[in-house]
Amino acid sequence: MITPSRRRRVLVVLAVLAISAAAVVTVAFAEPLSQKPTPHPIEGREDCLLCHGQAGVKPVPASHSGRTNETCRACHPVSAASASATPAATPAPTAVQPAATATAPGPNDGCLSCHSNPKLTTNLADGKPLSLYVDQGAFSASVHGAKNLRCIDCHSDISGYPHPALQAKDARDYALSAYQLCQKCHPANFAQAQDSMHAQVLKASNRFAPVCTDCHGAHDVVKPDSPRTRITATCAKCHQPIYDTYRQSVHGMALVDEQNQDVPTCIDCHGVHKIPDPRTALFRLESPEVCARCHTDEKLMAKYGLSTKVYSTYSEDFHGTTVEFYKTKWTTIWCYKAVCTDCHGIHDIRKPADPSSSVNPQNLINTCRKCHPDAPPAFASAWTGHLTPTLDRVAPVYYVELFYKIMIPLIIGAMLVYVLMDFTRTMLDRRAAAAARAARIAKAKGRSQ
Amino acid sequence: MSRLTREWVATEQGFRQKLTFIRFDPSQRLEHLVTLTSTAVLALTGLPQKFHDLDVSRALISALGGIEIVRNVHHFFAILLAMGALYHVIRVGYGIAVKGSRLSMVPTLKDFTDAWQMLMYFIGRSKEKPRFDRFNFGEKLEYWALVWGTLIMGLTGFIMWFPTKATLFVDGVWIPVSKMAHGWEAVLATLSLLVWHMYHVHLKDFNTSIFTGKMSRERMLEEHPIEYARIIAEEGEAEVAPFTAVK
Repeated sequence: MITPSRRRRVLVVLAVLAISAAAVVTVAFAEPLSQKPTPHPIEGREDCLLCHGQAGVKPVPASHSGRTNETCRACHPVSAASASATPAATPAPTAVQPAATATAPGPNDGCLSCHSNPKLTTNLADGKPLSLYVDQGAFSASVHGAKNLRCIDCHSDISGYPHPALQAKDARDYALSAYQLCQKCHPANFAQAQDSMHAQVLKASNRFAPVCTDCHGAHDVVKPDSPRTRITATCAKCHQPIYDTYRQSVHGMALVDEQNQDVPTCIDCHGVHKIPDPRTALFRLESPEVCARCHTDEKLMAKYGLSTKVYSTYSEDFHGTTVEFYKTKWTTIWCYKAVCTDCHGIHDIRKPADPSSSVNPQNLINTCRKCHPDAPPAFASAWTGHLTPTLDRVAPVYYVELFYKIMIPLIIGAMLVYVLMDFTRTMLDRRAAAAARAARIAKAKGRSQ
Repeated sequence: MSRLTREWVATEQGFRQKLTFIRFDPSQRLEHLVTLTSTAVLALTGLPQKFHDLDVSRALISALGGIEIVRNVHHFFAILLAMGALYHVIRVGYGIAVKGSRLSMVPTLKDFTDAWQMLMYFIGRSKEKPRFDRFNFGEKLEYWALVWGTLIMGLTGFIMWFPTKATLFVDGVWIPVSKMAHGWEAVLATLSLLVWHMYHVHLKDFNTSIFTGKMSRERMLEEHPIEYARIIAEEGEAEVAPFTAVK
């Protein structure tokens, strides 16, 4: 049933359409080439007036008042470049610069038309505002900005406006869902991180355990290891006391004070993405190999005049031998035999010559007593200091080894010579005896015939 | 205890009683068994620790239950060997001091001339083998090597087992010295057993006397003629009638 009011509305619509069509035709014929083309892709942005309405960004000119979405594209055709604005199709090879964006339209302009506003926020379920501001300068300087990535390359869940409502309960909740986006381009690192200590903690209890973006940042991702102090600074965000200890260690001082490029930072021992739990029996058993990675490197150690025999002498030692046997059989059982860090320290490793070093000769006995509480003072001299015994150092050990290295070949050699002579003689005697017996039997037979 | 016995043997003439010598009493045979067992287990559980980086050592240690268990077994048999050695010292000491036993293991000048004559015999410069008493020079050598080895292994072993106690009495350097000596002495002992002992009592002729306690008249005449003559003389047996026909 058509009511008078509805009939009136239909008439109004028809009238508007007619006027619009007339206007379009008029404008199109009057000044068809003077209009600017649409500088951005329109996929997901079909509602032009949503952004370009009187209240939006870059509002339409006053002369456009009354024009509708349907009429916009008649004058503002979508350019070929912006129609398929994939990174490959975007020719700009350098970082997106604010000046460039001003003249040549960038693929992120649509997003930035709102998200460049530092005051842009949204309220999450917990009632607290979440900033939606993207610092263009920081993004441009980031590794992703340098590659001209589009916002939607990461935010692939957003394809238009209005955006789907944020489901996050709070800011952390949003971060925990947003970091999943990283795996699209970084599947290997992402998968490794899922096996890490941090991921375990995250799954178990602590929702503030770090995910990709906590270490790398979100829009401001830069090379994480240049300079190398950035690595330690990143870990220190959560592990400050350990960093403070490390900072005073031989490695930390070289890194920070000398910008040394060889000393280990956190990740050289703990790994990058697959950061294992350092409290496990296996981590302990494998820890000497971690130290050995650098401390058996001839070229590296030569630079600092350090011995590369520290691992081989350790594995020859009672502690090291035991640890190696555990490694082949009992990787889940805690081995109480000393590993490198038990004597040298973990994050507080110092030069042995340093009076505060746990392996300084002055402190060695107390370090021994950590495991051997009843060790008398003479006990410390049992340690041969990662040195191969020679005449000059730990001479008694050298002499004992020399004694056996001479005596064993001598004694065993003499035994072998004797045994071979005995064997030869015995065989000759037995053959002679057998021949004599045969001759006797032959003689006896001859006599009986 | 009699040093002679007669055993039934089958001969072409029927069953005969054969003159047989009692060479080792049950106590000595037990001592040998204890030494044999503990030495074998100690070598088996110890050498893989010395040569720890060989795959076969890793596999053996794993197969035996892992390093901690292997060390416990090693310690157990070390105690067994030490107790066997202690028992031996007491028994021999008692034998010499109280019973007036002969010092049959003590090296004499004759052992050196015997050794020389043996070498001459090997190269054909001597017509006769040396005539041996209860233990020949090779057996004495092995015995004293065992004494030396047990002392070294026991001393260095206990220093390593109780390093903090040991350094109450000696300098710490004795711990790495002990480790070095213990490992190489083990190699020396094992190689000696494999070359010397294996050849003389297994390869040349399997000498079962340490297990049975007995040695045949023929073997006694061949290998220990001086002892043979002494026993026959002391026991007053008729050497000319080794067999007794069965009635």
